[in-house]
Amino acid sequence: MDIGRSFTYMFEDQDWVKKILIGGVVNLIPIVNFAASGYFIEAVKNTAEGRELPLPEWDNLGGKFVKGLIAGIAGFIYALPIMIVMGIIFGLVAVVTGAVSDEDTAATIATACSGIGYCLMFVYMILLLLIFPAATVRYALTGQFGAFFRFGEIWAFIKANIGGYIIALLIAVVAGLIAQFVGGIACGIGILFTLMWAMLVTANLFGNLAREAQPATY
Amino acid sequence: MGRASARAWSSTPEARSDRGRFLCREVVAKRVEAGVNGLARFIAHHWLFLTNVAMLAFILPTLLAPYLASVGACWPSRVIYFIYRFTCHQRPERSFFLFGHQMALCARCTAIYTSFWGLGLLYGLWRAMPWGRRHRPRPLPIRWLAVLAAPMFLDGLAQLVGLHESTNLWRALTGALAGAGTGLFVYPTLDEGFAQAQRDFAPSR
Repeated sequence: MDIGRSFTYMFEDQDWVKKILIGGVVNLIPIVNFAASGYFIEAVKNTAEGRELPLPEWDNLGGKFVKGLIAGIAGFIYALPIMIVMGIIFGLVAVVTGAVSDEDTAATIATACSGIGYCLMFVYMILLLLIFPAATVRYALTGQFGAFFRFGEIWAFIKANIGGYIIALLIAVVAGLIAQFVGGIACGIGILFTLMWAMLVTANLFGNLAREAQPATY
Repeated sequence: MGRASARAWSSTPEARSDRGRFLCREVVAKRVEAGVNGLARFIAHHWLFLTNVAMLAFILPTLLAPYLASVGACWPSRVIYFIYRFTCHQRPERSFFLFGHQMALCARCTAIYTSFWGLGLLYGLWRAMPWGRRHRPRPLPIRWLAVLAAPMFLDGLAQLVGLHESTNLWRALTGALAGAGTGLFVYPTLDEGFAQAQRDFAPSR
C-alpha cells in the first residue's frame, strides 16, 4: 500500500487547482459547506472503488449537500449521548448547588461533578475519533444512513485493519497540521484551501484502506 | 499525465521549460511520498515504543505538578492541574499526595494509566526476548476484560450510592486491575494489527 501517494495524487488531476479552489470557497460559506463534506464522501467512495482520479467534479451540488448533511446529522446523533449526560450533570449541579447554603460545599460539588463530566467527555471524544471515520467510510460505500450505526460491521472493519487504521488516522492528523501551518503562512485565508487538500488526503487514506480491507469486513 | 509526458520530451523552448517543471514536480512528489511512506513504516514498526513514550509523556506531568508546586513554581503547576482537569475530577480526598501537594490525577486514574503503561513496558520486554518473538500473546477476551474491570465499577458504584466509602488503596488496586486488563486486551490486539500493517506498508520490490 503506497500511503505516500495520498499526499500528491490530487495534483495529477488536470483541474486540481479549480477543484481545490471551489472546495475552499464552499468550505467558507456556512450551511453550504455541508457540500464540502459531501465532496469528501464522494472522494472516499471513488477511491475505495479504485477511481481516485479524476477528483470528483463540483457538479450536482444539491446531491453533495444532502450527503454532507446526512453525515452531519449522524455526527450530531453520535455526539447526542454525551451532550445529554453533560446536560444532566450540569443540571444536577445547578439544582444541588442552589439548594446548598454553604458556598464551600456547593463549590466542591460543582468541581467534582464537572470533573466527572469532563472525564466522561474526554473518553467519549476519543471513542468518537476512533469510530466516526470508519462509520463515514461505511456510509460512503453503501450510501445508507443506517450504515453509520451498524456498530458490529464498523468494529469488525476497525479490528481487522487496526494497524493501518491507526496509521491512517495519524497521517490524516499530520496532513491537517501541515494544512494549518501552510495555510496559516498564506495569510490565514490559505487554510481554507489547504484544508481542502487535507480533506482529499484523508479521503484517499480511508478510501484506500477500505479498498485494501479484507473482503469479510467490507 | 500522458499529455504532460509527451510535451516533456519535445524540443521547443516552451516544451523544455515544461519538462523542467514536470520533472521538478515529479521529484518533489516522489520525495513527499517517500517521506510519508517512511513515516507510516516507522509507526508500524515502532508503535509500542511510541505508545509507551506517549503514555509516559501523559503520566510524567501528573508527578511534575506537585513537584513544581512544592518548589514554588505555581504558574506551570496550575497549567498542568488545569489541563488534567479535563480527564479527572482531581478531588483531593481521592488523590495521592507528593511533595505535600496532590497529584494531577486521582488515585484511581493514576493506577489505571500507570498499570497500562507498565504493561506496555512488560510487553516490550516480552517481545524483545527470543521466545516472545516466536509467541505473540493473544488478546484478552472481552469478557475477561469485563471481569478485571468489574471491581473498579463496583467500588465506584458502591461509593456513589453511599454503600461504602472507598480508600485510596482500594481505588488504586481496582484501577490497576482495570488498567492491566485493558493493556492485556489492547497491546496484543495492536501487535497483531501493526504486524499486518508492516506487511501492507513494506516497500514494493
